[in-house]
Amino acid sequence: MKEEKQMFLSVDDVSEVQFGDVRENAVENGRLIKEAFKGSFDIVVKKGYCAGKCVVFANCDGLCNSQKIADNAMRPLLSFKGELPENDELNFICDHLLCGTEQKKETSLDMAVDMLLRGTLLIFIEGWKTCVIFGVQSIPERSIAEPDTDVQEFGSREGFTENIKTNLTLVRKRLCTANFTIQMQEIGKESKTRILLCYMKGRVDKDLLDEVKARLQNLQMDTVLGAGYLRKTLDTKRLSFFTMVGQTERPDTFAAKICEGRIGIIIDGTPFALIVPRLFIENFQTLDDYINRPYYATFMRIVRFLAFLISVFLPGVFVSIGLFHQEMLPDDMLYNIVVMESNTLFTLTLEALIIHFVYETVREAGLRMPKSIGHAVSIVGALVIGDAAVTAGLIGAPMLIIVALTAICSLVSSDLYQPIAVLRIIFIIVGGATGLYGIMIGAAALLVSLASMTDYNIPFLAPFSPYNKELLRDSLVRISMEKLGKNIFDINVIKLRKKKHQ
Amino acid sequence: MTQTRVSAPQFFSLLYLSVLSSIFMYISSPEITVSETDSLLRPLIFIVISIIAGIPTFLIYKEINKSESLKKTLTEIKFFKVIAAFYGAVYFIGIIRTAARFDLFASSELFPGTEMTLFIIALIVVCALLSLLGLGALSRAGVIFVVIVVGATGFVMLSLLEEVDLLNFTPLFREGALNFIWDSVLFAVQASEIGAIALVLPEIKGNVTKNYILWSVFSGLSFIVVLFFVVGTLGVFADTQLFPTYTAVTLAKFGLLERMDALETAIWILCVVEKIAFYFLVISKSFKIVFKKVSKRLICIVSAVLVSIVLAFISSNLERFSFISYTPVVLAMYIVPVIVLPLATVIYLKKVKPCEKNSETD
Repeated sequence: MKEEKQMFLSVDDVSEVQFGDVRENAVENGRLIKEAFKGSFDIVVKKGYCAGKCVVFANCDGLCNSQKIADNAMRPLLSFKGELPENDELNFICDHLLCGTEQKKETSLDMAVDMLLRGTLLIFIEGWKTCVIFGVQSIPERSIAEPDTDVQEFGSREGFTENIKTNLTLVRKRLCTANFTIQMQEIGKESKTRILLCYMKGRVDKDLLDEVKARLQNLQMDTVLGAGYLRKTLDTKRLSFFTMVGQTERPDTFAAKICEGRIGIIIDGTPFALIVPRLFIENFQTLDDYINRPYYATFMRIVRFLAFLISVFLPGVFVSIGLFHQEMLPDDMLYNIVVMESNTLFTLTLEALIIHFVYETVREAGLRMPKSIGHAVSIVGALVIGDAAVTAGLIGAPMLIIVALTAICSLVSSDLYQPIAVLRIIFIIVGGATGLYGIMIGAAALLVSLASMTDYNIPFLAPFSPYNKELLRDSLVRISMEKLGKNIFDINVIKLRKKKHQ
Repeated sequence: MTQTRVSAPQFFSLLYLSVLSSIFMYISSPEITVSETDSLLRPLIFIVISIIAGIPTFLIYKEINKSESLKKTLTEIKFFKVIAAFYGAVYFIGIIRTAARFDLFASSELFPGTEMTLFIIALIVVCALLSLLGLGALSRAGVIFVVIVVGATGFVMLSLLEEVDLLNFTPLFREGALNFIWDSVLFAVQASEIGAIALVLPEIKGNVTKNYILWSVFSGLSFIVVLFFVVGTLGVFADTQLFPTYTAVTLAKFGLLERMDALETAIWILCVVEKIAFYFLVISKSFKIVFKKVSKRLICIVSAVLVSIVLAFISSNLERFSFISYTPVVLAMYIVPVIVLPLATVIYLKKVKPCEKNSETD
């Protein structure tokens, strides 16, 4: 008996026992539910009779399809004129009267209430300590649309939605194999958010799976309302600007990563799924690369990488050259810059910081404000940052060009925007204070910190360091699919081996 | 407890950067002339000396690996604690020497007449923090740094090609063979990082001996290339320059880039950062053996503070700087960690330890 109790708790390990078991008195069960929700208007409890036996229906209005409840559950039961078999009413109702495939018998009232909040119909039958959970969910959801963040030129137009089942279906239809394994967990004491742990049996590393499960198990949170809530738990334990947790809105990307031996996590209520582990090089790869010809895919990856370098270092390098290393520039260029910068009020460092601050403010305003007035901000931003500031002598034209170029480059790898935005400010300050040498010390520190990221025993900088010839074929360069297809990328190849020591 | 091991090529990339910093910031002195063609042959002696000098270090592990129980109790033995303390002290001075040399380089060549103490202290702090990220992080980053440094230096050297004057190459051994050998020895002892291998060897996987020999050969060949351009472009003028390698680089120009010395120096800084961070790591490892209860973090912080204080004292004072560049000091900095300490350890393991064991069993 004790064992059974424990088993029950492990099914719903997050929730606490509040109501106990389902009561024999059907009306009592209905009353308990009503009381639990303090008479909340969306909790509907209705009593009826099936062949003279009291039956109580409970559901959460808005999460269920009323038509389905009426047609598939209430009408067959309440209009049944025959006789229910003695001592077997429950099975008879399930097998002969209820019209639907999604049915489950449950003895725990806590579990039943949990399911009620997920849009199912609860049916309590007088004299039975078991209730029937009947699937009639109709949770409002957005239709499948093209993702906003993970835009591809030639890939699929389908993106994840906020519905966990829809998302799972989108992945499942791409991975028609029994090896594709899904494990459901509930996290968040209050929100009881469902998450799906997805991986490919036979390809995923056991240690990686155990580590991810352990981290999720240790998560102590009341509410989990989005992917970001889990990110911190799954991410590197080191203080870093970069993340080892990938995020995607695309089911095709998600499926591809799972095939590479990674673990995907779909979270209910968010169109963003998480993937662990993520490598640094993945920030410069897109699904389009596998559709485009290899030479073009390679070219674009190099462009993206250079754009990243420009967006992080260019303002700092410009400031440091302008202040400390003027000899590096040809005389004519130096003369032009000096003439234009001599009319401005601020030092190069301050100029760079101000203009980046203005740019970030305009960008944030454009992101948060209603779309209808977004264009106005763009116009004002362009005018203020552009012509007016230069004419007024607040900033120099060279700096404006540098910031414009930096801003465009920083949007090339959208996943890297956050570290880029902060790092370039740091490098402007360092470059303005110590010149190129300070920037180089900062760059060295950044690179060593990236190299130190080895969570899940996967080095973040692989396949460059540690070097892996096999995986290098699909890194900054991409060889033909014909050659690539022979050996599918396997994340476990770069796993760091550990040795035991006292 | 488990620990990630570093592959031998990664570790030797780190060591390669460390030793490259010596040639980039090579200081000419009246004792060793750079301008002579002999200097191109000195790296060959460097290769031979390095390979021979590495033997005692590798012998330590051969001895230790003979006994499983010894491996476990090694850090408990007083003798090893004393040896570790010596290693820590040597590399503490090593940091001071490297940082002081960089300080001199920065204040005399990069920003002449500018007080660079704060900049150097910032460098020390960054390196101390980086050392806390571990040997794996430093080594993995080292591989990428090697590609950057070698690529950039190769590019600069190629752009210097048109400045090379064959007349600058003088006949060999003009000062005599003995002088050449002595100069070569003084050149080879710049690479005191060889001794540090003893402390990190258990963390390295793969064929360490083969990679060590490759490291010696590649380092030597790199020195030959750099010195070829220094001698070929500067000639006798190199002897009048404090940092001849830097002076040679200032002559390089390519297309729009009029002067590439700032860019090249910025890239050399990667070598300095790796070297100092590695030395901090060695210090923390060695003093951790001595003071078991003290965290590596604390050791690094204390070391960084002490180094900063000493550097503030040395900074902008050539007399104080020349003391740590004094030939006996340079020789001691090589002989103690590379030869004396490993040999003492090997002798202890071969002679004393078996006796102790025997007496215990009796």
